[in-house]
Amino acid sequence: MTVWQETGAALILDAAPVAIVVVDGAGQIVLANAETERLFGYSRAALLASRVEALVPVRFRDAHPGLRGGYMAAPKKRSMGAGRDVFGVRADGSEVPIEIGLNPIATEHGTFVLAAIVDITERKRAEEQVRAVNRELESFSYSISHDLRAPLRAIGGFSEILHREYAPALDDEGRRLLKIVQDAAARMALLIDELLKFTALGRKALAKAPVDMTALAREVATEQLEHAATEADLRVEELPAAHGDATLLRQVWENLISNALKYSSGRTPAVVRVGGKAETDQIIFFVEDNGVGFNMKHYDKLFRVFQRLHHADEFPGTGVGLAIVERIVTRHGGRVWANGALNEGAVFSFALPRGDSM
Amino acid sequence: MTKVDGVDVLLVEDNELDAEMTMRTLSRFDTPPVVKWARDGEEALEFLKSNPRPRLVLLDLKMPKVGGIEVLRELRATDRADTVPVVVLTSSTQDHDIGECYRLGANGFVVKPVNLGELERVVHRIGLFWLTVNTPPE
Repeated sequence: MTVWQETGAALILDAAPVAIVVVDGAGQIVLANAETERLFGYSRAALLASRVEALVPVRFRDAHPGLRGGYMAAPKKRSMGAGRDVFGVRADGSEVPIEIGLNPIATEHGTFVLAAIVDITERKRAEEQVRAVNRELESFSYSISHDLRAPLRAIGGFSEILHREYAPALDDEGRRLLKIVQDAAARMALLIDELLKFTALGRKALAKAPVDMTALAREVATEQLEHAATEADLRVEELPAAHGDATLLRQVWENLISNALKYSSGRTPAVVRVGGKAETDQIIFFVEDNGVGFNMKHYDKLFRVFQRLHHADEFPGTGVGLAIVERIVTRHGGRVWANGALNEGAVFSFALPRGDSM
Repeated sequence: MTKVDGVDVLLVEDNELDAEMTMRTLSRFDTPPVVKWARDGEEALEFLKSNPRPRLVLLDLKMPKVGGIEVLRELRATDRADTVPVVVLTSSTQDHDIGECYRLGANGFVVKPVNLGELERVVHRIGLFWLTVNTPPE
């Protein structure tokens, strides 16, 4: 090794923004860099005289040698404590949330473990902030839509009373204006209800269980066909089973199938196909129709709340359905996407992760 | 407070316009019930203390001063009104725990529809069930 390589390696080690600790098979610290000194508040000499347990909070300290032993028995590169919060303890006793990457190093003197430790205090704080803002936003949109219902009930209710009891006293123009008030109030009530439904989704806990998607989609399809104003050739193929919240997945099928029927209602025949397939790590479902489709140019609006690509007099709706679909699928750890062209139909797809129970 | 003989329905509702719509609907029954309107829980409890028991209480939950839950709790704890039928008539399912209302002794939980026609149907059914079909407790 050249002088540059030797001093360079030491320089790099101390310049690294990550705490790096190397531990021998007995848990003795044999190397620690400058960031380790800074993060844990020990001098390098003190670190090199300690076992790694000195950096582990007291409440985990007893269990740690056992875990370390388990790792040494089958060492491989991995992160420590994946999926749960890991903490380190400083010289002054304060704790710090950390993320640890473990790498075994095999040498002629035995196996060592290199631990790369990142201080995630800032990230944790930012995550908590995002969560707080989200909660606030949810409760804000909830209370807005909720508090709007009372005055709206009055507008709708009293204009209805006016219509019933005083319509004869009004002329045609008066009645026309009154009807505008009533229709607008009814539309607003619908929008608020949908918004409430949407915000409620963020609050509800998922009740996951195995779901027979074929039966669920067929059930929904039959119901939707009964409600549809026009005839349609609607077929649901055999679908892979899913693992999720059946009530919410039912909502996904309802929204996608009713959309497909709505936007293909002008075709003769209107054709709607529901299909799916299982892949190694995900299952994919789709609803395809031969309806009016959409311009991919407007794709970014498709799944947003209150965004619509058609006028309400062409196709009725509130612009919440696909936003609900997106939200449900995302909450299941999946994703949604769509393909379409104007006047050439549309395919809406969603993928769900394969659950452990399948 | 003046004593009122034979009130059929005690309507506990802070929103004046909601109250008017509910009372209009009740007044259109074949046999219109005698309705006492209390503007909040405090007024309702005052009324119940010094008047004969009504046959039905329609109870809003979200009210200033004394809310519907407290009214329900107090009402069930008093001998005079512990069996009076109470139907919760609220603006939302989400502000309040439906289960809690039933545990406290509510006899029904109804979300006020935004649409007047639906509100009328709902109030009509409640009235039909509790004032006509049911035998009121003594």
